[in-house]
Amino acid sequence: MSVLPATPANLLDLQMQYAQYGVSTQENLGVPSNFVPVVDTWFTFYLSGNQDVYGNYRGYSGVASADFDMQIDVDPTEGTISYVSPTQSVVSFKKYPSASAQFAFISYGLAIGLNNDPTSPSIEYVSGFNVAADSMPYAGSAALTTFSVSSLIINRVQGTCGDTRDKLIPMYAQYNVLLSPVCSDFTQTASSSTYSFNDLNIHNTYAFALLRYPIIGPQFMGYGLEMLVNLIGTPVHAINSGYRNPDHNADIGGASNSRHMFGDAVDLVNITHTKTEWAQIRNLAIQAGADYVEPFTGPCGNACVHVDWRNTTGLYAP
Amino acid sequence: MNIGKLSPLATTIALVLCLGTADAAQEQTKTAGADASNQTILEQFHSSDWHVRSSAFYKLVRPLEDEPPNAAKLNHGKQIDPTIRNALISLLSFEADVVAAKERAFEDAIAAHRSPDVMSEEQSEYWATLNQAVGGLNDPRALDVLLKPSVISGGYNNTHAIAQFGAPVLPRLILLYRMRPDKFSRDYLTVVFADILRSGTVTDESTLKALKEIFLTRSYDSDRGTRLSALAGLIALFDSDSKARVREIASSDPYTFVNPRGQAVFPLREQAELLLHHRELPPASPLPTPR
Repeated sequence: MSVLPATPANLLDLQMQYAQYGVSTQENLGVPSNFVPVVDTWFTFYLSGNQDVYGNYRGYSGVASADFDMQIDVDPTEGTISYVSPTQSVVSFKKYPSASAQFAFISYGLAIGLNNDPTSPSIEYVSGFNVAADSMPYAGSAALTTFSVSSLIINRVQGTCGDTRDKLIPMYAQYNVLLSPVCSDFTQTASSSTYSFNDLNIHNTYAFALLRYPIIGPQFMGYGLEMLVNLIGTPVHAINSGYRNPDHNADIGGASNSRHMFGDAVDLVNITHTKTEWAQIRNLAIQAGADYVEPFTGPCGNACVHVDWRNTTGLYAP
Repeated sequence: MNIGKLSPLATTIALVLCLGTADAAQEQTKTAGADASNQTILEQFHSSDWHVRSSAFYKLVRPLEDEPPNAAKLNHGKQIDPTIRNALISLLSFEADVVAAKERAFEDAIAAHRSPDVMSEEQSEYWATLNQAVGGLNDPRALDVLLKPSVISGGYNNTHAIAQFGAPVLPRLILLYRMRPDKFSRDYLTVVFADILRSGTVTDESTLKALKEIFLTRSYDSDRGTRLSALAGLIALFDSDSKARVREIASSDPYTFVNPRGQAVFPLREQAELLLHHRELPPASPLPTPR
């Protein structure tokens, strides 16, 4: 197992209060914690405080679809628990090789048992899902306590990438886009169950794209593109425009801060060009939590439907 | 249904109020005042040219740079001067009417086989940002505007903005739901109802009863999207009747399709099952033995 210690000097503390993951900060055990994704598929989080920490590599096997399991399970045989000190524990997980949702487990798949008193038989369960959805605790779990995380540390190193990303990144400044991506924000492979990377990166001449989790995350999240296309059903609607690099966005007359450059927008083809189909997609998009759906008189007209998740939690896909 | 979008912070708008001055960007946290320069800006809201209106708008409200991966920025709505608040609400109301009129013209053009007039991407982005700004004001005076069809249909950002008003607006929304029997209103209001209910602030028995009736009825709607939002409401209610209906959806909702990999998928059944699981079951696997 390769676990690097958190080295804050080398890391950018985004202080996102975990709102990025939908984690509630309303109920707090008072446990200052940091989640630190370290190397590739390894993730380590540190919990400080006077509590015993147990890893629970719980997925939701048998509950949802195969996609669900693939996306969020961590490999129980690869997880470890160790003590850094009497007051700090480290739990590390490794995703299944097939998993593509790098951070999904934080919000949905991971359960951590916290036992504030090791001599007590009661264990309070905390799951990522409940952290995200604190209004829906497990029934009958009176002792349920959600916890919050005080900060997030992500390794987002500025610098050269050594490939075509070095051309993409300066474009954001060149066009005054309100985003400053770094190398690790881009992906060459991320895809969803329905759409391939090339589908989502259509019209981009570069092999790298920014794709956020609302675009590639699985249906079980309860929102996002996959949820939308599952609601729309067949035929699967092609993507007219997905990620756009700033050059391409300018070439086609895109808005100066088009969400396509942020990796959380798609234009879905309106196959029949009818308002009926357009309206159905729009209505379903809201059920899928799309933050913005362009009006019928939007730039797409009756040719497509623009939807984006501009205010929705979710990191960039690796 | 947004089972993963429950944190209010998740939809905090990425906007900040700026003063209508040249150094606005450096003054992001200041409270705005309706001073003379702002007055000039507000007058531009009445221009017949959307370029002028949007330019004036962006002098008052501007998006901030995203901190990757995405922004959850401050909303200074409560600090905004009432004059500016009112002007922003009026501007959205005006633009909503413009969008509605354009839509009618669009349909006329299509029917007449003419090229329809559509927004530019910049105009669409302005519309989206204006929606976000007014929604983020959390000002009850904006409720009527947010309920306009062209606004409420603009995305979860807008339905959530309405839901943020919480339990106090429910009696009015329920009345509206009953008075506007069109499917369009029902669908969006159902989303709002579920969102409010999930906040856990609804305690009035008669309101809960009315919502239960709405969700149970909508859970049989022919539209799968409507059934999905009703499902979210039933899960939030989770009394015995609601639970029973959710179980029924989990086992027999008819909506299915064959995905690109040739698998038959039942999205609503899966969602219902997932939500039931999270409401009812203890963690699926035992914890390791405590050391």
